[in-house]
Amino acid sequence: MHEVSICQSIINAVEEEFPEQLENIREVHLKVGLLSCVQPEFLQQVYKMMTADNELQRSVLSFERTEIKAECESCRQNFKVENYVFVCPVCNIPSNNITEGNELIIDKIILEEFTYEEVNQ
Amino acid sequence: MKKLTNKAAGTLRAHDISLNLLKANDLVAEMIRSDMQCRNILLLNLVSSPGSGKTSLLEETIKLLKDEVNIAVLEGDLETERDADRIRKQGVPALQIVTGGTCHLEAQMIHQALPKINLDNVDILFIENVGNLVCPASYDLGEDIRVTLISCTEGDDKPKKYPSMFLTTDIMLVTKTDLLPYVPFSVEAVTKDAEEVNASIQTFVLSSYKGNGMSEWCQYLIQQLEQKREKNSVNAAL
Repeated sequence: MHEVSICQSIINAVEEEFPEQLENIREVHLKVGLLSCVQPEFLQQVYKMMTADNELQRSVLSFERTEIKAECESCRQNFKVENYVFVCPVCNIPSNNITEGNELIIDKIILEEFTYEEVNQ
Repeated sequence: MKKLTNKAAGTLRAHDISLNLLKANDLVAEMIRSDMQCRNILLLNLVSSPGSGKTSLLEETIKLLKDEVNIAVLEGDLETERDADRIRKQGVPALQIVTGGTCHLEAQMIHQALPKINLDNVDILFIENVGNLVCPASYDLGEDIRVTLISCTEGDDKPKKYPSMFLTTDIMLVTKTDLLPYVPFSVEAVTKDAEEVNASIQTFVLSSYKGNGMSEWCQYLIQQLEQKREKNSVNAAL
């Protein structure tokens, strides 16, 4: 439900990281964990609207969903959490040690870069 | 850096980075946490669906603990001063944070509100979050303890339906238990589901209307306050 404020954070983060190259950004790629409470498809629409008339207008938002994984405190194996049962399938011990699924990060930016020759063609 | 196909006029290059989108919130939350540490205040964040009894719980908690500890409350709502008014009637300081439509409280809102409320001699500060079982889960407010309320009229299936909230919470409070004889709600089932989502969750079962279970809840608060103070004084001595 808070996709607009998340989207503003994306734009702020990108502006801070690539202040001189905003117009060259073509793709902003996110990793969105299943536990992050964010709808990435909706986020894409919001991003489109919020960047329609600024320097980021030639960029798109893409994402990959990450599954929930936790580490068993007994056998130390990473296991996939299904149906939100945070219990190791081997040891049958509950675990709060979430290793994946919480993330909401920008993990990749694709820039269109020009060589000196291309700029001066 | 990886070179990608040359579709456009320039060359497309992927830059691997790692920018946490909740970093700004988490930094402010840490500032609040250390502020509360200095003031020796126990900070709790109350979350739940609308209408599960957060304000009523606070009213009754204040009545029971008024002589022992000083309490203050930050009230988050989309609109109106109503909840803060209810709390002020109990004789404790309360400040309303009107989010104007935002579905959750963010650390920045708490940070801005703190100077507006008198925290001298306050022992326990409650934040009553916006009634919503989804979005508040993602926003750390610098609290020591996150408390999720679930009233038995809501149904016992909530922990599995809203796992993020139950995963990030320390305490589950089953409220309105005076209505248990009239609704198909199983305390056992809700506890089992909550523990499957969050192994370390602690459950209290109470009715703020009839008073059942309130003394255990209040004892827990006092005990947590004492623990925090003890830890603080040990840290100060080191």
